[in-house]
Amino acid sequence: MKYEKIKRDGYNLHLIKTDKFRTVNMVLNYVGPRDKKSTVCLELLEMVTLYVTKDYPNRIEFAKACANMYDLRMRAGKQQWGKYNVFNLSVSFINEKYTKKGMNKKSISFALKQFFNPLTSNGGFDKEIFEMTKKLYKEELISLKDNPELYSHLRLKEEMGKKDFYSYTAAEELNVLEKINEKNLYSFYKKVLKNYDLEIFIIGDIDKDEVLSVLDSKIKRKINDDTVKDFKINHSKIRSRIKTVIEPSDFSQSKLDMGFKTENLTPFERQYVSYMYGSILGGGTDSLLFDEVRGKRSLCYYIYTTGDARSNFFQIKSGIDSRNIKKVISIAKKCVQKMKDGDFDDKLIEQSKKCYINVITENEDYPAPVLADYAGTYFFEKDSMEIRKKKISEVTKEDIMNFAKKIHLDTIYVLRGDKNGD
Amino acid sequence: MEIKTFKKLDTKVYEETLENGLRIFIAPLKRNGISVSYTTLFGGKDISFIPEGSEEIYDCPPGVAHFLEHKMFDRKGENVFNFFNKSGTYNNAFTYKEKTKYIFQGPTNFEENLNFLLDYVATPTFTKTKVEKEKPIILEEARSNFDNPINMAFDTAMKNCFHENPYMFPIIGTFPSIEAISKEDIEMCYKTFYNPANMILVITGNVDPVDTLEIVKNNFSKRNYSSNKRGLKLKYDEPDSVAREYEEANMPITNEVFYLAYKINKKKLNMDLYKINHYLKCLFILKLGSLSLFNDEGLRSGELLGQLGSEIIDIDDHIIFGIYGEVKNATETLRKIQNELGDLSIEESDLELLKKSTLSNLILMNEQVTGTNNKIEEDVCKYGKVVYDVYDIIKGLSIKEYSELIKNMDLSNYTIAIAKNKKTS
Repeated sequence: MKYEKIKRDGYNLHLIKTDKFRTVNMVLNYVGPRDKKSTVCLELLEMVTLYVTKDYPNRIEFAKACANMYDLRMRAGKQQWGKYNVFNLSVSFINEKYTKKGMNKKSISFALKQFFNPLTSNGGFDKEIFEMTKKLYKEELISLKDNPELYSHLRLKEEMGKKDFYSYTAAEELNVLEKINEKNLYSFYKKVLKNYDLEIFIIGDIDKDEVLSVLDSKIKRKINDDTVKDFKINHSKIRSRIKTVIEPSDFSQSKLDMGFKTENLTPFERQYVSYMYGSILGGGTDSLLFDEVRGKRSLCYYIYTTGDARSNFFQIKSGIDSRNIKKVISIAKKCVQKMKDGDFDDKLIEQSKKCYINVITENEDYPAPVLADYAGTYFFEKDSMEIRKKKISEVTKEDIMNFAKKIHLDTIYVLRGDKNGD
Repeated sequence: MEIKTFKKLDTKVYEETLENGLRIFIAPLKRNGISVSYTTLFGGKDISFIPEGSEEIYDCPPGVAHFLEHKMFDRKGENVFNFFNKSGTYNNAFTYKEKTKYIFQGPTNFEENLNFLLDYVATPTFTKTKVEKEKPIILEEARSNFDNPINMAFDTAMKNCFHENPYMFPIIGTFPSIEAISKEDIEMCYKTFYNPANMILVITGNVDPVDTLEIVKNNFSKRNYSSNKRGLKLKYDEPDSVAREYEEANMPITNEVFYLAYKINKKKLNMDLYKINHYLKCLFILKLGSLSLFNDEGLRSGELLGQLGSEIIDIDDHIIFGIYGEVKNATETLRKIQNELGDLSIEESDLELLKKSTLSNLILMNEQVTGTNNKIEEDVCKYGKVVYDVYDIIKGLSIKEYSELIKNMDLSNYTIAIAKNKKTS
């Protein structure tokens, strides 16, 4: 795999050239500041941008045109990277070596044309498509509770800090949504394309000059700020008393979400130690939580940890019987204490390292994770895959115990299942 | 070993059947990863059977296959999770209606892992204490399943679709049936169905086929299987009609989730199942899915909250053509769906287009370690063999054949299940 960064007027191209894959994948990352309004707007753009386009105002004709190009796939998407919002426009298609000569250029050109030419009228997005999207998004916000696992996760984040970057309040989003119409959303879309920083990643066996000629002909911007950004979210305060919120529901299972904040992490801790900590505490079937809560006491079917070191956020998630809420919280707290005390088997350290390396090795088999990894290396100054495989072995038990001192339980959220299950 | 090739897709598969009846499929792929699945043709629907050497029917409570899957992880000596965790290998197991599958995936430690997989599936230890200890865990898993509206709608539809076939029970069982499962039930199922003659082993990825076969053969050389006969699964005399046509399940949700199950007599279709599957997929995409006016109009009007889903399930003499989705008003949407399916004809150009896009994706097969493992495994479970000429079959699909199929297809037997909040509606 050969990586090359090419600086152009208005964008950078990151070309990962390899003949390992029969597909070509390309992602345009537009990076801009994260705030509630842009978050809601990007959510709408996910559907508005590529549901239909100027060339294909008919949805079915559009889908058929893509199918006819050997099932070319396009997507508009949104990502949240710490303090930044990212608008992705992506396309993947089968390399012309396996379809028809000339298709590489044709596919990229086609995708860019659709990306940049959504269906509009009277200086805004097509009103019907806009209203459809808005209604769907509204429904999603209103019915969040239908998915108790997601709902409890979002409620936890909301309770942890209403002003925090990652706080998500359906009511607040609904308020923002009310103020958005097809015209101001279109202005926002144009602003993203013009002003957000643009980094384009492409992976596959494809000719550099061919790609550049298409991109240059379609991307008409002159300026791009590619200085290194600080994506990290730092918390203004760490709670000294743990907040507990219990909300009733008519489901039969209770969802337990325990939220933690981390502070003052070093880059090494953020990249390596936080993974090790999460893996040993609740990463898999050998973790402390799995062993104590399920293995020894049969109190749950699932319990695991997840988190985002860039946001200094970490959590424990489980589904339990409402009669066992207190018991499980108490055991989970004990496990967290064990991490501080270093009261865990050294073999867990070795196993977690092997698992980390295996995941990277397997990811190398597929284009999308490799592309995402190169993007991560570029944006977040993450070590490359090869370096990470080596560096993970440097994490010591002391590192993990030190990290455990920097992680603080902040909020316990329980969506209590009140329906009598049996 | 017999070397087979997915025609035009340059993916080779090495096939072998051991003396004990185990069927082995090895597909070497130029990737880092290795994916292994070890599957017994015994699943959630198999709750009554005649054990080998017996003449009497043995009845188990529903959920026994899934419970057994959980208990396969108990053994004397090293714990299964611990063993795989040592090398950072992913391992898991899944119970379906018709099969149970044990897997591991990881790029390292292949020989030890493979031996261990074959060992632990061959030597579980069941104890009464451990069976009892597992019950609260499975009940918790069941609670989270029953809180999921799409699961609820599916389970309700299957319950009502059948008169006789135990396909009607949820894979996980019911709260009382889970409580009722005993160590004896588990042992009896294990003894009857976890026999190499009833199992298949599929290995894909970075492996050498000859060495791999040696490992498997050596592993089995230390075991004696007295016979390669399987226990007898019962045949059910399942009528074409459904047991109940409509049911609502009360759930604390805002929108409505439905599952519409058409029960179709397979014999009357008079066509290869593989082709039926493809034609029905095309039918769904063009009438109700991504290439349909129904989908576009439904989204625009706000009736649909996302694209509908569909599946084709093969059960003895019937296939179930299932259609499901989350909507504002299920009754209204269902009326439109049935109206839409009043005319099953499609355009030839549309069929050709779908063929083209399916064919182009097939060439990615030799890049997908787990995907190819699943494909081989599913083929063998569904059709009894790997369908190597998939490329030619799809290329050969025709509008004429499609028209024959729909002419014989009777959509008059169906059941509808709707998960909704009865309090608010």
